Amino acid sequence: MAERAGGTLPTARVRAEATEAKVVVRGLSVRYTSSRGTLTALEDISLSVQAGEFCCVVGPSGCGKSTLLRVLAGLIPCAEGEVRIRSDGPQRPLTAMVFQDYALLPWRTVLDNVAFGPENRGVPRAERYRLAREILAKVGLSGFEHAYPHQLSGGMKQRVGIARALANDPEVLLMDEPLAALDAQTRNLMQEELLRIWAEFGKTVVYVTHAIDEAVLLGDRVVVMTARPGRVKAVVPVDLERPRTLEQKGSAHFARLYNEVWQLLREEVSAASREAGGG
Amino acid sequence: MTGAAARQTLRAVRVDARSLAAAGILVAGWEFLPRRGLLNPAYFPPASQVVAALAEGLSAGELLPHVAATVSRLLVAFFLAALPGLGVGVAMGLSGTVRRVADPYVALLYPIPKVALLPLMLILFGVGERAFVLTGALTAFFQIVVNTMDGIRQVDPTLVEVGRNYGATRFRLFWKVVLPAALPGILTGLRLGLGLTLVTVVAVEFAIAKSGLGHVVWGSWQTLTTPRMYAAFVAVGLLGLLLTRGLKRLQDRLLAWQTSVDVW
Repeated sequence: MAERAGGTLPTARVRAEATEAKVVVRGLSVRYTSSRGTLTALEDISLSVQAGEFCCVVGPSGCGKSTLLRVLAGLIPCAEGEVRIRSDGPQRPLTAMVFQDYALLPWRTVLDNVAFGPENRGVPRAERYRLAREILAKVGLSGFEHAYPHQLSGGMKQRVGIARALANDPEVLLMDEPLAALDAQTRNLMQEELLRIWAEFGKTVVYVTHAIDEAVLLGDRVVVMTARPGRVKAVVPVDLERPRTLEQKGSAHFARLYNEVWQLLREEVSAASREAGGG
Repeated sequence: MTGAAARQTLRAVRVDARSLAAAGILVAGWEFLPRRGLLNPAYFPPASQVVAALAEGLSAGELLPHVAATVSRLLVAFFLAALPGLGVGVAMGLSGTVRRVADPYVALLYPIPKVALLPLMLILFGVGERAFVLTGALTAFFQIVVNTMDGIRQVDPTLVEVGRNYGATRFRLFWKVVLPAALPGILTGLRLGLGLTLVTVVAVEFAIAKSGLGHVVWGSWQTLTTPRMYAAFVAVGLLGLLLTRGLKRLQDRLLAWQTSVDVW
């Protein structure tokens, strides 16, 4: 069953009945054509994500990490290659995205923000509010149902963003640098929160980040991308014990993994900054 | 009016007491300078005479029909403009095609003072209410179009992505995401449109109508009945204050979710 993404653009992003993995990306390329020529954002990406896996994607700025996520989200058409997302419930949305800048609807209360996805699918008010309250409780936001986003701190806003995604009960949770706008201490707290929430909900997650420590702490695997045009350079399995805690960041094992990812990333980052510097 | 009622009225139109004090100083000067002969009272009658003329005109019912004429022209012009203005503005905001076709015309016509189109309106519709009201409506129309279009174009694209990713249909994407996000700009356009329409309507009355506050100003000037002329000025000013403050209140209520800052 093919699903059309973004309203009108035909894509090769499909809802699959049976695949070997939850998410299968095969030969995906994304190019932008303008009067100044063709820009290749992503080139020949192939990637599988298992059901229930936490898959982190790191790469230099401008490598197309966000583009990859937006193709998975159906916001950018997948013109070359294919994306298959296995559906385990015919009514469930394929993806729900958590955005870097929270992207809450500022005129809606916390409750109505969280209930937004079910509301779009026609879930009755009482039912979607019950669901939203339940999830708000699980992300630690009980009592803030009727607050407006501008009354919340950054960390709380992102909890709302995460609750909104969970309330939509997607097949795959997509996270686009969700902690990048937070201060370092709040980021640490939220990393623990994410570990706890992920363990509780058992979602398949594709998580884009700049922060290597975050990727290693959270991920089952870290996908390292090259500088533009973005390709998959390497996939580093993270065999840290679960359940994970912040304390593991101090371990020698963590440091080894961190270094492995950094060595892979290093030349890509300098390549990306050379390109940015040279125009 | 009792003190409490006066305070309540002031709150309703949102006038700061300090702002009122400044007005008091101005009025005192306006009273004092003509009385001492420092200003020619034939041209600048003391404030008390203007207030008396205003009170008399309102209580004797001589000014009231003119106030009513101006207000009804203003409201008809505004509502005549608001619906098509919102429609065209939304269409231009949403669709690049519509925008590319319509934008040159809007850009061309928007800056023309619509009073300058009065002769054209008179040729098209004859001397009468239709021409007066349409001239006012054109003023509001372009203001509303421009602000509505900009309001929609400035909607954060990430919010549109949220709408799409969270399963909003095109219909819901517009009503539940784009329109609320664009509302601040749209309401500003309506408020500016209303204020500018008052300007145009008064100018039209000045030039040609046989009723309305603008007509009173011009007639009083020609007969040098200056207290009445200033009384009409004051009435126009108060009208503008009440209308735009009323809309501002509505805007603040609808946009309670917005944060605003007093920089100083």
